[in-house]
Amino acid sequence: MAIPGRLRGFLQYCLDMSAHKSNQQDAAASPAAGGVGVRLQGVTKVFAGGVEALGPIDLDIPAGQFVVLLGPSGGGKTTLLRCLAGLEPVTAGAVSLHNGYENVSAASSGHAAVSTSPSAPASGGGGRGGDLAFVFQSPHLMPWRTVLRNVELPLELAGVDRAARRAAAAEALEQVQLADAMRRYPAQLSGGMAMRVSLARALVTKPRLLLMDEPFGALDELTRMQLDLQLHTLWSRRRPTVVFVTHSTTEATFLAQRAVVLSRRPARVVLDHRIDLPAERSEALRGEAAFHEQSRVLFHALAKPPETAPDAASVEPGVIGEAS
Amino acid sequence: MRVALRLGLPPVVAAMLLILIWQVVTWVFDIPAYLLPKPGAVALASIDHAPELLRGLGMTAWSAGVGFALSALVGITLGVVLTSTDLIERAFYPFSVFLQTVPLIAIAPLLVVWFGFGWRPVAAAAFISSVFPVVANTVAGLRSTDRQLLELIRLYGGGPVSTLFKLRLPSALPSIFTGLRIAAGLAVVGSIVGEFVASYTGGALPLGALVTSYVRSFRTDLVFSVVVLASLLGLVMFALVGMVSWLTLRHWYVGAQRGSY
Repeated sequence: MAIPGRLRGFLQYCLDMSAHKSNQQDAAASPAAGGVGVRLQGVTKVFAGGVEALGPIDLDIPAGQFVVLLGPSGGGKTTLLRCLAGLEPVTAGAVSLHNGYENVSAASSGHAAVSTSPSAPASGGGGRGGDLAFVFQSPHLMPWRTVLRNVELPLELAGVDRAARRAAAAEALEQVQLADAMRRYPAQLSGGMAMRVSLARALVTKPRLLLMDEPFGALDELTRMQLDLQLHTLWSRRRPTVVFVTHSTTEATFLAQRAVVLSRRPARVVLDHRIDLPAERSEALRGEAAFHEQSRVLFHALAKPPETAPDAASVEPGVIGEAS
Repeated sequence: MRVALRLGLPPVVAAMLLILIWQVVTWVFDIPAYLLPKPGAVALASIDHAPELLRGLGMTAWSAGVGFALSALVGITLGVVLTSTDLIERAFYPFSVFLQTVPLIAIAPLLVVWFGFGWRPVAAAAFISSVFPVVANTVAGLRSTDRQLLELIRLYGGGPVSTLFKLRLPSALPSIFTGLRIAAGLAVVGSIVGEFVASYTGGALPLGALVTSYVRSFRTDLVFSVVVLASLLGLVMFALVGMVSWLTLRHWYVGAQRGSY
């Protein structure tokens, strides 16, 4: 394709926007949407410099499940999440949401027909059907907007009218217990509060898939534990599908129903573990033996050298080329 | 009140000291008034010629103001256009540097040819001398947009227009204001230079033309008055931009609204 990247991106916007906007409004309007299932088939990601981030990954996430992605730092966790969001095109394989959205590689010939249809763009240019929200490692709020207006942003972009998005934003802020901070500016918030605003901004569209990239990693232990509990409560109320990246095994154990442990680059699934704990999570759970048992399982999988130790672990990241 | 006193007093005292030294030096060494007039004489001459000086100040303020407003408008627009695609930026950005390196004195006569006599060529000179910092700072601000916020807007289906108005321009504001602050002072300098060249004949004269006429008649004291007025004009324009900038950005930074929570 000879069209330069940015121009293509722009054309992609134009294509997507009409189909996308109506979807977005639906998502904002329907109250209890639940979750959406996600399937990854042979997802591979190789960056421009030849760095292999993701080995072929197959994963099936049923609707409404809370999945945690664990893995060594610098592994492919964030990349995997970005592929799920469509922010990063996949090199091979396919990511499909059960609402019809697909992030497939342009190269895989079998999907050529799909990638030209406007409802399923080949690479991330919107078009996730309005069902998806992403929470970054740090809050990334707009300093010129109040807390309320920051949370309104996704609905504003979807063209929801002012009164409706005010109400939805206020409700989302209430969910993260920040109703009294609506008029403040981000500069007046603590780190934990800013992260909760960021979470409210993600929740405001009532997403059916919530992607979270180490959202509480930069916070102090106590704040993090409080936010974990809040998040879990929010999830059990509305049951969106959550994919949560962390490198804390205790956070993983506390939050998730299922933990997927990834290897070093190129990341593959090392362990796919069902966390055998009661659905109801509380602070008391952190002291129980079963909790520690579960978290130890994850820790061992994380600390264990990969099975293909000689050729995967000892080789420099840039040279892994022929591993698969 | 005490804060105002603590901030305002030192520069006022320093200025008074300098004026005192100036007065003493001219008196002790008996410097002739056409070389360095005594501050007292400058003050008296200024009062004598107040109507003329103030009319000149008004004229210069007008052309500097128009030039600055044009700089702001054109500079910001140009910054947006230049950063809209890589190709445009690579093709045209080098030429915007021209605006900075072009010798104003050399092209000022040309401006008179193009825009005629009066304030128009002067405003054009003010514009040319002040537009580059606005362009450069707007470009710098637009280039440093938060990548994650760009992705967020893309994720929610925002197009290039909403990305520009909801994210890229607002986040470039601190940088744009930096450019405007620099431009405010430069616009006054550009006006004065323009007025040197734009040969006014008779009637009311702006500050730059007044300087030429005072120098010709050896009124060094009045030249000093003009210099002081021109500097004050630059200062006031700078302060106005600073105030607008503060009003716009005051919520952005930590401690901006102390004690409100």
